[in-house]
Parts: sequence; structure tokens; C-alpha cells
Amino acid sequence: MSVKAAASSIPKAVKAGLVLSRVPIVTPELNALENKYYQYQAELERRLMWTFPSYFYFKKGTLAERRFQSVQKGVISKQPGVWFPKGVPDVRHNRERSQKQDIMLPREASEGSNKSDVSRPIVPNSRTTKADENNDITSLDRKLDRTLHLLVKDDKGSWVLPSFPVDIEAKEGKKALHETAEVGLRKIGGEDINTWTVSNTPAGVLQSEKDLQFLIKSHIIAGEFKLKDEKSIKEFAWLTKDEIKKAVDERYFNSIQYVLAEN
Amino acid sequence: MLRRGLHSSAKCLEKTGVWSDFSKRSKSLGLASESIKKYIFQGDSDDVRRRGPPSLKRRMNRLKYTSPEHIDEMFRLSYEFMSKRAEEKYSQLENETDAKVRAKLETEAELHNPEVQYNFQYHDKLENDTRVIDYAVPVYRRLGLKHWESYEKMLLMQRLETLSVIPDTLPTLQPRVQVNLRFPFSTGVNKWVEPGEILSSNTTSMVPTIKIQEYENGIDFEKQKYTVVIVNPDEPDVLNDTFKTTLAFGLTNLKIDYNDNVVDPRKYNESQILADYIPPVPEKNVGKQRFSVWVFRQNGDLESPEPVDRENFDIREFVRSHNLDPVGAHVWRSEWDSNVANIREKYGLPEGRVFHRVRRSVV
Amino acid sequence: MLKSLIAKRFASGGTAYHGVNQVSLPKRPLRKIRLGKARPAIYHQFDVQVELSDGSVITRCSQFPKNEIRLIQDQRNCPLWNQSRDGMVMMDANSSGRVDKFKQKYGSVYSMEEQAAESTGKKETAKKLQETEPEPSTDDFGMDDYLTLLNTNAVQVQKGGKMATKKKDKK
Repeated sequence: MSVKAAASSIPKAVKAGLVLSRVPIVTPELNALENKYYQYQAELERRLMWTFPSYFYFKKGTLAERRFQSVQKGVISKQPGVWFPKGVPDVRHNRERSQKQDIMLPREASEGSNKSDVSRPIVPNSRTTKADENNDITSLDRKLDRTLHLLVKDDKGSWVLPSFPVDIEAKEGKKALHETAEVGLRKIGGEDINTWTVSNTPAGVLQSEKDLQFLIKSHIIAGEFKLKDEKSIKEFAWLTKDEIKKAVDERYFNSIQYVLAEN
Repeated sequence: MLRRGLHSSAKCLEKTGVWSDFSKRSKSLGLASESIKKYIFQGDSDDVRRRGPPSLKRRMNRLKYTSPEHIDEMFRLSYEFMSKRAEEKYSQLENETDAKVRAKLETEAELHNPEVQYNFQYHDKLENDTRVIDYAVPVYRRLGLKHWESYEKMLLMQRLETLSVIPDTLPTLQPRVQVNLRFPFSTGVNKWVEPGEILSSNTTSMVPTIKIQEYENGIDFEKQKYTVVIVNPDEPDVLNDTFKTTLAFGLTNLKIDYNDNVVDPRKYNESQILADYIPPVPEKNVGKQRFSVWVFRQNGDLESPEPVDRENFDIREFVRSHNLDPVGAHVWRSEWDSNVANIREKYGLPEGRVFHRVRRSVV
Repeated sequence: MLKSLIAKRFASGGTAYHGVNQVSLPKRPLRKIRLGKARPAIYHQFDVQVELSDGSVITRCSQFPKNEIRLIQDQRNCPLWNQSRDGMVMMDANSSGRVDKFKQKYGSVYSMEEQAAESTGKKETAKKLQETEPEPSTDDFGMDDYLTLLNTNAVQVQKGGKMATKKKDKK
């Protein structure tokens, strides 16, 4: 009955909506409890770890073994006539069994040629970028540990997911939803974008009185969204899910929230 | 190793949060021992750390002991996190009126309290000290129920089924009540009987005590009464060449509580005795006789019961006619031994028959 | 004849018995693990910072005793997995390592070998089409094949391969 009703109703304009997300680049931020928990568990594991087999990795008489042993802290063995208040040491294979084994690894100290040496110390970059400091919402480098989604500002001035009209009536050159979305993205954002569409099947649907928007999920792998001067879109932004919640009106957010990635 | 003086920060951990407030909560929800409490909550202060864990008795072992690293900070953070969740449950509880939901919230609020978990894990559950494990508090009931279900309930059902008590007496059982059995008067030994244990005639010569532990919420003990029946389905019936069920012991209209639930002769009077205790007196070569204890919840009061036929006791008819609900069971076995003759004499029972030894063709 | 064969095989003399020529080291009898004393295999691991070829740093656990590892060939370097990136520089595995540092410091003692290596390199590129003839293999001392010492009409007997094959016992 409902199918007949749908067939007889006024056809709505079909649109392909685009959920373009940038996946997180660094590991997620942990809160104090999580950090402490992982630290605690790691320490427990380290206490239970088997003795490091230095006889396997450093053969006797080699320079590497000498370097290794020179950096190690010695172990206190039991001696007759000495009182050990914390208990008599139980040493096996150069390891105190009642405590975790603390192994110092020699640093590849090369003070001289530090610039492009393979053995220079590894210094990771900071997890917050310049875009984070400036709070530049058009930049893809912001919030590296979160997923960013592309939002555009439509003519009414509200933030929405970008959508592109699908031509149903056309005889030739009819494009599928995902193709419309991809082509439309390149039209508004420039050609320098490399995306991967998750599926041709839409991830969700947004229904309004005159519109029927099918959401296509895809990820941006490389490139940049450079807004081409168009009358329809004034601004764009890359926002996380909680920022989208603040920027977008409630009803719209309720309809898209399950399509957006949490982290 | 650097340790910031955490005693400088405002309040001690054990005094913050909803679990430190005992104005509306039972005292059993907290640790009784001050030294243990101090060690757990103030584990990072120097004097506590120097003394070592109070549960170790020898001073040498206390000195040798080293805690896992970061445990104090971890405990502090987890405790704050858990107590915040409990606080939310308590605030929900204030507006809640439905009794079932209230009981659920009460248990959930206290389930992750480390003091409650400690109390339950390290103290006697069967002969519980009410100040420590109080079964009137919903959370201890839940913990007790889980503990019972994890082993003893399964053991009981296994024994009932393997010994065929279940089809031979009542058809089946959904145990909701933990039944424990003891013979303190005859032996003087404080031993709880394992289901299916073979007991000597001396052990069972005097009346047993039965502990009926209820774990369900919302029982009105003013009105709820219990019936206990001990039944022997292996009494030989020579005339019909089969076995018949005899009633060994029967009690009705018993009132118990969550904590005060040991049924011994102090607990009931003459009017509540359905049938006095006749000890197991198995005859020679009859084999092992099963004595199954059944605990029922009564639906209302049992009227002064008409004299029950002890020799041919139909337990199913009994249950149906009095509208009883079987909630718990137990079983022990008895064999003939040389002391049975003495017991028969003591109780004025007739002399026992001696049967032929029968070679069992089917094992 | 049999005796001579046997004598040939067990050259160790009087103390020989079958199976004396062992292939691998005998295994030590395993230590008995008492009931309830078995422990899970938690091998000793180190927290390693791995820098991939594009500079991104990953922290992982590894049994090898090294705190920092730098990779020069991985997924970030591969054109198949980085379609959008052009002009990826392929790094030589030997350059700027510890061996290369040594060579830079002290040059090469076997400077002849260096020159020979260079020349053979050039030869190889020119001779790509011709194969069959075995190339002059350079010895450790940078000397050419001994064949050059001999006359031009010297014929090589079987160079290598299965000169003396051990006949396995029929057991």
C-alpha cells in the first residue's frame, strides 16, 4: 500500500550527499585513568617478563657485547656474612629474580655528523600542529588524533554536509550516486584530491520535503580541499563530531550523527 | 624514587566520595580493620609503606614485600572513577520508587566498592559475621548468590541427579535457596555435610541443623514460612518387592531471616514438628540409602497437619496438597554399620532385618 | 673391500659408532616443569621507536635489543601504496651506516678491490647480453681467477658442484 502511495507522490529531487572524512593520523589521546592503567599493566608485564637472553644477541668476545655490558647496571649477588634487609638476593643468569629486569640499551652516540645520519636519535614531531594553535578549521592538519569531516556552508548560512544533485531524467551521461559525489567534490574542491569511496551503497539518507539525499561515505587519502570560487558555497570546514554537534542545528545532527565517526 | 607527598593534598582518599559516608549506609559496607583501610587508601605515604601490608603476619615478610609499581596512583584514580559512578546510582535511587529497581540500583552502586569486595572475599560466607557480611544488604546477597552459583549449586544439582534423588522423590528442582546441613549434636564436629556424602550412623544419630540461605530480594519474612522435610526413598518394601519412601523428619511453619537462618531445635516448638527425627537405621545388605532434605516455601500457613503416614510417605502428594514450592534440597547417604543396632535400641525401634546379598547383574 | 669402505667413512678410529657424525647439536634434556608451576611465555621485550621512511614515528614492542630503528624501505616509500606522492628517493641500504662511516674514515685498505669492483661493475653493464661465459670472479685478495695463471689452452675440469657426494646409509 505504501509503495503505491510512494509511486503516486510528487517525485523529490535526488541528491548525493558526501560524508568525506580524514582518518586520525596519530594514536588517540588517553585520559589520566587510561594512561595510568596502561602504565600499570606494562609495569606488571615487565615484572613478569623472562630474563633477557643476552647470550643470544651478544656473542661472547664481540665489541657489541662489550658496549652492551658496559652500559648495564650490575646485579648484587648474595655473599656470606652480609645482612640483606630486603631478603637474600636470588640471582639467576645475571638477573635478580625478585624484581623486574632493567636493561639499559647503549645509545648510538654520534656527536659528529647528526644531520642525515641513520643512527641519529629519533625525535618525533609534536602531536599538536600549527593549525591546532591557530585553530584553523579549514586545515587538514588540525586535531591529528581525531576524525575530521568536511562540512560546507550552504546559501542559507547553515553548515551541512556537501551534496550534489543527481540528474534522474537524463538519457545519457547518467551517473551513479557515488560517481556524482566524487565528481561533485572535485568540482567544488579542486582536482588535487585523492579519495577512496567506501561503498557504492549509501550509508544513510536525509529526507526533507523537496529533497532526498543519499549519503556516500568516503575518505580523503591525499590532497587538499581548495575551495573554488562558487556562488553556492562560501565556506568549508574540517570538523570533529563534537564540533559538528555545536555548529549544526539539532535536527540535522540527529539525522547524521550515526554516519559520523566518533573518535 | 621521587614520591610527592600526597598527604599534602586536601582530603584522604577514604574520606572522599559516596562510599565513605555511613550515615545512610550499613556499617558492613566498609572495612572493619583500620590498619588495612589505612594501608590500602594511604599506600603512598612513607610511614604506611615502611610498615608493610598488615595482612602479612611476620615482620620480616612485611619488610621484604614490594608493591607493584604505580599501584597507589592507579588505585586512587580507579577509586575516584568508581565512586563517581556509585554516586550517580545513589542519586538515581533517591527518585526511584519501584522496589525491584531500587534493589538493583543498590547492588550496582556497591558492587564495585573495594571494601565490599574485600569483606566478601576474605571472610567466612557460610557462618557469616553480620558486622562484616550482612546478607540483609542487597549487594552481599548478590555476591553470595554468584559465589553459590559458581560451584556449590552446580555440585548440588550434580549430586541430586547422579544419585537420582531428583526423579525419585520430586520430579525436579530449580534451586533458589542454599541449603546446608550439619550434625553438631551427635558428633560435636563443626562440619558442613557435602551433598551425597556417606555418613556413619553415629554421625546421623541426632537431629541435624539446617541452614536455609535466601538470596532473592523482596521477601517478607514476617509472612513467608518454610517447610523442611527429610525423606528416605530407599526403604525396602518386601511385600511389593520394591522400595518405598519414608519420612525421617518434618518441620513446618518455620520463620527465618536473611542472616538468622539456622534451623535447630531452639528455633521451633512442638506445634511445628510434623514428624520427629528418626535417625537413619539402614538394614544389612540393603545398600546405601539416600536421605534427601527438601526445603519448601509455603503459600500461607500450614493448618495443623493431619497425622502423616511416615511409612508410606508420598512426597509429591504432600507437596501438591499443601501447595508447597520446592526451593532447595540436600542429600546424604547412610549405610549399615555395627552401630545401627545401638541406635535402634536407643530410639526404641524394632530390630532390623538382614537381607541376602544380591549380586547386581546390571551395574 | 667393505672393510676399507667402513674405515674410510669412520675416520675417527676406534671410538667410532654409528651416528657419531652428528648433523646438529644434541638437545639438552628439557627442565621438568612441576604441576602448577608452568608460567606463560612472556619474552623480554623492549619499547622500540620505529621511524618510517617518511618521518612518522611508531612505538612498538620488540624482543630485539634496540631502542630506535630507522626504516628506509617500507609502505611509505612504496609507489604502489602512495599513489599521490611523486619523486620518491630510493635510499641505498649501505650508505650512511656504520660500515660506510668506517670506509669513509679509513678509505679502503683493499683499494685494489675497490677499483676491481668498479671495473667489473662497468663490465657487467656492457656485457648484459652475453652470458654463458662465467665472469672472472674476484677473490678476497682482489686477485683474479687462477685460470689466468695457466695457459690459454687450459681446460677446466668440473669447477664445483657435487664433487664428492656422501652416499647415505640404507637404513
